[in-house]
Amino acid sequence: MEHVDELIAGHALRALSSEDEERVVVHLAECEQCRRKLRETEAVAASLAYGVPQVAPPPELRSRVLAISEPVVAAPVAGASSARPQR
Amino acid sequence: MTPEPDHKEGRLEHLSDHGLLALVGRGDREAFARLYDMYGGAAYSLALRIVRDRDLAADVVQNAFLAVWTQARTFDSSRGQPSTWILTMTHHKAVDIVRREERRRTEPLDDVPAAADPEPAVEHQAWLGVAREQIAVALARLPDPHREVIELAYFAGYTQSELAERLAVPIGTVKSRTFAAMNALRDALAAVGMRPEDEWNTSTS
Repeated sequence: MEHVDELIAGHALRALSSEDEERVVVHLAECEQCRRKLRETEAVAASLAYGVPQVAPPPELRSRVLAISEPVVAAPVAGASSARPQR
Repeated sequence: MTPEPDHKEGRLEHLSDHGLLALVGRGDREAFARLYDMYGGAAYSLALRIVRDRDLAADVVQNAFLAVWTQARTFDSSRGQPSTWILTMTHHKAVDIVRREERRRTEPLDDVPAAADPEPAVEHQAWLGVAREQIAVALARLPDPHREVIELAYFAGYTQSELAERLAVPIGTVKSRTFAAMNALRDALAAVGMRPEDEWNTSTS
């Protein structure tokens, strides 16, 4: 089996053409060795994130993100009764 | 609106990132808040560096954490560290936006506004400072052509075909430079004791 080491680096950077991307994805599905290589390469790429100037996110972003985890309640829709009057 | 979860001292402190993510997969809002407090700053900083716009960067982070919340249950712990997963999703979403918006990616960084409050969580400060320096050193040690492909691809969102055109080299050269650069970065980080594929202990350093 031909491994795709070079393409894995490009894949981790999301820099591949769609043809190369497809080759990698197909290969990764069947190759544990390359999946391990991808994990390692993604970790190196992610470490680059810590090299950029660290900027505090706006406080309202925390509220927006945590709102994602709010339980979905079937809340009564304001004005629903007047919008859809019961006969 | 239900009140925002505020992770209490103690209950989650001893948990690994994998442990936190497992709780998130079961709908634990405090664990989700804790993961955001640990990695939201790094994610936002990365997104801002790539998209160069505060509103877009916030959208990127929100989308990345939406993916964390909805996909935590199916996260396969053998696929690596949760922090890598979060930052990889953040990176990919940011790059997708840069490409979609066709924002000019070679603008100087000066137009990114300085942080009004550039203080990451106290527990991260020391660790982040060390990590940042080591990563900067590792990057600086790469040969110029190798550093160039990493910076243009990772931070500016160029595809390998675009890089080949921009740098006037065959695409095979771009691929081999990228591969060599990522290996060199891995080795350079390992040489200073950073093994990114292991969990970086950001919560106690």
